Amino acid sequence: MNQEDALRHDIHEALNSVTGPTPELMGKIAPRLHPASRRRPLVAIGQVAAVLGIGLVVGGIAFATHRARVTPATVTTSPTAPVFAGPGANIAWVASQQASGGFYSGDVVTGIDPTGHIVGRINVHDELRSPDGSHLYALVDGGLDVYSAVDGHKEQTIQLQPVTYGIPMLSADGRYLALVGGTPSTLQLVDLAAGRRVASTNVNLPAYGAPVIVGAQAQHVYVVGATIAKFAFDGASLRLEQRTTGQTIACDGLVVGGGNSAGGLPFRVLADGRTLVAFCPGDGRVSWLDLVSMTLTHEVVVEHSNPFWVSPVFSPDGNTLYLHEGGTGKLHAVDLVQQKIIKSTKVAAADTNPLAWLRSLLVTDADAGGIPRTAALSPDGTWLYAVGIFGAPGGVSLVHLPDLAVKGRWLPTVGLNSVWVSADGQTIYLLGADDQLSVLRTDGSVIAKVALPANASGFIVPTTP
Amino acid sequence: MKRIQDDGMERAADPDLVRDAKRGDEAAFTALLRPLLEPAYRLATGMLQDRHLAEDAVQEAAVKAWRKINQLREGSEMRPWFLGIVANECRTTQRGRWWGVLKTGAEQRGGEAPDDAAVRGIDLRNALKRLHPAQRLVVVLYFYLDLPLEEIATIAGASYGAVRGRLYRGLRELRADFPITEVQA
Repeated sequence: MNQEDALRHDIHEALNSVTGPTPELMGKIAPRLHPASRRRPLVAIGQVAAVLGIGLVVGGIAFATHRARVTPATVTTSPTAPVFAGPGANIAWVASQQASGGFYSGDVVTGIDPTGHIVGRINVHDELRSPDGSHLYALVDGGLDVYSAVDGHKEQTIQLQPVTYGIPMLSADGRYLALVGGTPSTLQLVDLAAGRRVASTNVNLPAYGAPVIVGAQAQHVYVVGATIAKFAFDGASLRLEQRTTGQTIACDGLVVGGGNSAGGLPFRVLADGRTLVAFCPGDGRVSWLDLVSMTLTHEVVVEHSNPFWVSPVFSPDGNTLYLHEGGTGKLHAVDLVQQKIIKSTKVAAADTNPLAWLRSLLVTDADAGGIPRTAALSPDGTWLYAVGIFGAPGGVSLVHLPDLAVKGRWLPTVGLNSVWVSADGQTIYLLGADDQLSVLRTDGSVIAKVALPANASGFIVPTTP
Repeated sequence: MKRIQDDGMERAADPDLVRDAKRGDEAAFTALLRPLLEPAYRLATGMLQDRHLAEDAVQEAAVKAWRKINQLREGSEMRPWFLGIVANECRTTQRGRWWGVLKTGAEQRGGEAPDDAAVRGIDLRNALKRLHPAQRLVVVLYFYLDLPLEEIATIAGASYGAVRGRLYRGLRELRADFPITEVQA
């Protein structure tokens, strides 16, 4: 066997384990060919025209009725008490995806202050923002770059063991950063206050997973993948303490990446320090995991039309999880302590569009893979800002959380994709479907509109695990 | 290891089926499509390394192919045309990657250490992921689907020389000691 054949054999072996047997695809494809049937185009055009006509009439009536019902921008969502914000914490950092040869190659991250001025621009990938909003972190080859969120200047580079496909995660207080990378799978712990790596160890299994740091001194670091490994940190070294076998939580582990967008991470360690709650966008499950016994203790599935439309947002105290389904406007509040859904309603940010219902018929497939970030909370936990999905006109709905009621709507004719609120709660940043960022005050008035680099995909929000 | 010989049966589109498909005959289109689903799925999994994403990509590609069947010139080859659509769909999927679902998957379940073969497989898959996507496409088509470089050039929408160059650079990154002179067209 020459080297080419040997490599071919190795690649077959490596990829066959991923590919497995070819699934029955034709059964799924054939039904999807019917709507696109090209046999009777005139009939099809006629049918679409008829549907559109009916939709315009019905939607127009609904539109007029709805506008009469929803109060225009007279609502003020200013925090009821002053909220502390660190340096740069009120500046929005927005990632615009870059492509090379048609493929994702990193982000251009643009900083915009509450007056609408661009304060800095960074070329990075795998970026995180500190819980207090003051710093941005980005993995580089063999290190971690630390940037100021005030103006985007690089403050330092912390040396790390080079890893492939590193998954970084911050501690809740922002002092520590843990990084899991492969292969071989390693766990590195960085003391950000000291500016150096303080410990490293092999993870072995699970080979990949998101690190979760627990304790003020990072006493424990969990690597959560399809299985979970628990490491103890004594201030100098990491030691494997416990390991589960078999499946633990939905999604084969924690979902990350969406943490870079408005709304934060889809998982959270509760105030008791031992309960991890995670939302799985693959099936809409909310899982409670006891970190001490490392067992799944409870699961809830909220009603949804499509789990990939659901945007999870945790309340500032971490005790409530709001699940906003952008495609339908459904909003569920889940009490994470009582482990139950406490209220469900419909905020319908997108239903000012008379044809929104038609879009929901046309877009029937899951937007597999993404976590939409269509909701964000004010820092005092009083207001939830919800935008639609698909960039459809509808503006932003103002949901008063104590009674989970829509109190108003801003920019109802504008199509929006994502929303973020500054740390002091005084500025609302809205990302439009056209790479336009709108900067608003809490009375809904527009301060500025900023054109961003193409493919603006989301906000880099403070990471609170 | 012997390369799989290409007898051309799956490459050339039956002109009658193509004509019928262009007239809107779904049965004709599915007859053209059916033998291509297996290589399409393998291409998508090779590119995306995720079964679910691969299934989605192939389904989307199939629907787009149905809509664009009029663009398939009679007498031209169906397989590179369709695999080109699949490759584009994979590109779209990867371009929209602003998320990451962690999958340790079935490759390392249980509490025992993985064996050497499994570790080699993981290393190789990770090395493939690190390749520039244009290089990965060529490497997957050449080494996993065992296609000739001429057809790969059609799928990739590039010249023969460009594809050969991508394969060379891809192999250099996969295996620094690989003797590229052995790669035959």
